[in-house]
Amino acid sequence: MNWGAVFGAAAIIPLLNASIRLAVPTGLAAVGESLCQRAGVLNLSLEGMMLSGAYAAFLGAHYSGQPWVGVPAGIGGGVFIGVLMALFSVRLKTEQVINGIALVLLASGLTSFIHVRLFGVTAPERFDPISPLEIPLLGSIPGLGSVVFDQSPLVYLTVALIFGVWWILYRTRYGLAVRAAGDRPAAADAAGLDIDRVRSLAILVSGAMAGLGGAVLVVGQLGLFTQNVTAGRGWVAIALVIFGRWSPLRVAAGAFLFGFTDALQLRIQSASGGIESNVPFEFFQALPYLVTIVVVVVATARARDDAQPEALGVPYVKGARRA
Amino acid sequence: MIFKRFLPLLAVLGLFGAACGEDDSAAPEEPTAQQPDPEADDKVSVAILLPCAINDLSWCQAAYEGVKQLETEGLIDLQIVDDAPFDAQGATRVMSGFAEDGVQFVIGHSFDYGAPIHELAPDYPDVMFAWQGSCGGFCGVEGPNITDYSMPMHEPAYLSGIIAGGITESGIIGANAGYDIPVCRSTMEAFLLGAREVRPDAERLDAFLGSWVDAALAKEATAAQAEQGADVFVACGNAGSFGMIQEAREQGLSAFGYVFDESALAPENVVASMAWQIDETYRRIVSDISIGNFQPTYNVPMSAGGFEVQMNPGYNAGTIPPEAMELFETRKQEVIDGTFEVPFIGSIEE
Repeated sequence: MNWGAVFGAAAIIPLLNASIRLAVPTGLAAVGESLCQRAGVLNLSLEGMMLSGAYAAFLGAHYSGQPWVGVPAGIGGGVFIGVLMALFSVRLKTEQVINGIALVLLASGLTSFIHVRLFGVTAPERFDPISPLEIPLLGSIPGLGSVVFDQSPLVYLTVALIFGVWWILYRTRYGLAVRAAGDRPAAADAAGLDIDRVRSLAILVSGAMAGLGGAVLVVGQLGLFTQNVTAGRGWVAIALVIFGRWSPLRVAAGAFLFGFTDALQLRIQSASGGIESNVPFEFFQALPYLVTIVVVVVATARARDDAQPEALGVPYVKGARRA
Repeated sequence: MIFKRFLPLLAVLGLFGAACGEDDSAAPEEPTAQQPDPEADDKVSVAILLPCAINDLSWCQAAYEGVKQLETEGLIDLQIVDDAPFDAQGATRVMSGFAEDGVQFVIGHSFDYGAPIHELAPDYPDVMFAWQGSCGGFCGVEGPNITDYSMPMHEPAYLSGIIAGGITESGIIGANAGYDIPVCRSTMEAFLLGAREVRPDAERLDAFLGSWVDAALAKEATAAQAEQGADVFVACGNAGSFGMIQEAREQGLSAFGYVFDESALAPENVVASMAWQIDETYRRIVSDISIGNFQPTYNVPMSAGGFEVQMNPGYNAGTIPPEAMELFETRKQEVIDGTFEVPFIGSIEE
């Protein structure tokens, strides 16, 4: 096999670019989810938020003719599922796991249903996705310049949001409230925090970011919507939160590692003979998961603290005794 | 008080219930929507499971238009479930619902429906089941009321490959497929064989996605293959073809459409589409059911009008040399006449 086609000097830059493209949708959802879980809500509706965002983005771009309109629309689509999640999980205090899974099914069925309702057998026209925005001068730096400074504007937005979530979580009063609501909701409540409000807001932020992640797929990459276009990225994002041990920056790094391994396995598959190869393709397919699991095991074994928020997944009922 | 707590939930459910209520045959939520009565006329009552959208410009639209054609011809009473469950359990639930309702013929339009159909068929001996196995008979169809219908895509793939061999400058073809299954293998292999008629040194780069829905991953696979020199692309899988065509469009490269005319996705980059005329397959099965002559496998090749290579007149991302086009026409005629047989190289076992 021709390893130069995968690791050669000319192949590294495209490999890193592809890693970023693959990492962004999942990374956005995962970082938003990390905030949500830090607030104590195990939000399994993430895949549904992404899908709803993807479809809303498609509708926005389709009816306006501007792919940019898909960005706020996608955020809105994710928030829509977020509102339902907050209503059921925080307001009504019902089981978070069940709510999450139900909302994924709802989003999957609803987007497909509306798509056929709206367009019948005439497939809607595709549109041109948002094109990369090269930052003048910096983008023309040979080598890494194109990786760092010649990307879709959505990539810059993603990076800003990742640091934004980190900053909110560790440098603001709201972030402190989030961490308190996730670890000791009763104590935080006694200190005067409105736990329901803190948690609901965290769910909505998660919905916005996951919706944006879905929008990136549609208006940033494909220019069309297809059934279940998010293809399980929301579930991967939930795993990445555990991988990153609930720290937004580590979660983002995990998303990049996952995207990188995925980009790599596609290139190895192509260069290694595909059908003729003796290695079954499922091995390559499993590679990103395998690498991620190994890193999780190593990271967890090395870690000295238990990073999981203590009240994760437990609905907070004011005045109720702790089990 | 309790009622008040669940009020929002009820409101939401009611909203969706209302949305589903105005549903018609396009997407019945419940298979029990209408009770077919086989005694009423000589139409065969048919239910089809489509794992994607009827407007996907590909896999499901090809099948949808096929069964609709039969309905228009007055041959069948038709029920359709689009975006049908892909998992065995969900598919079994939908299919057993139809079987209980007395539907005569249940079609599962995916390779993945083979397993649930084999589970279900013995319990409903009076119901005929078909799934899109494309195994050419070697998947092991077991049961008198089960059939597998094939997609002889290796034929149009070979012919398309001839054109691709003429177009490619690098001699490298990029191929992606959802999974490593017989029909995808045979398509990819035949495509390369066809290309080698024109470009004996042609090579193919493969990528399997592990998904039938991940268009974005297919786009990345195509980008990776383009980096490694590929300039003509073919796909096996609807979402795979969407991502592939989008990347070809962005890079100004050439791609072939999958089972339906996909030229609308990239009017200048889609060379041709291997379009499946699936109505002929369904027509044969339905006609056999009505005379009680159900076969264990159905294969409707190009010679019987099962497939065609639909050229895209707007294609201009590359040039098709006249010699390649001539050879294409010659071979096409030979395939239709039966004087040239495209080899089916689909076996997973080496």
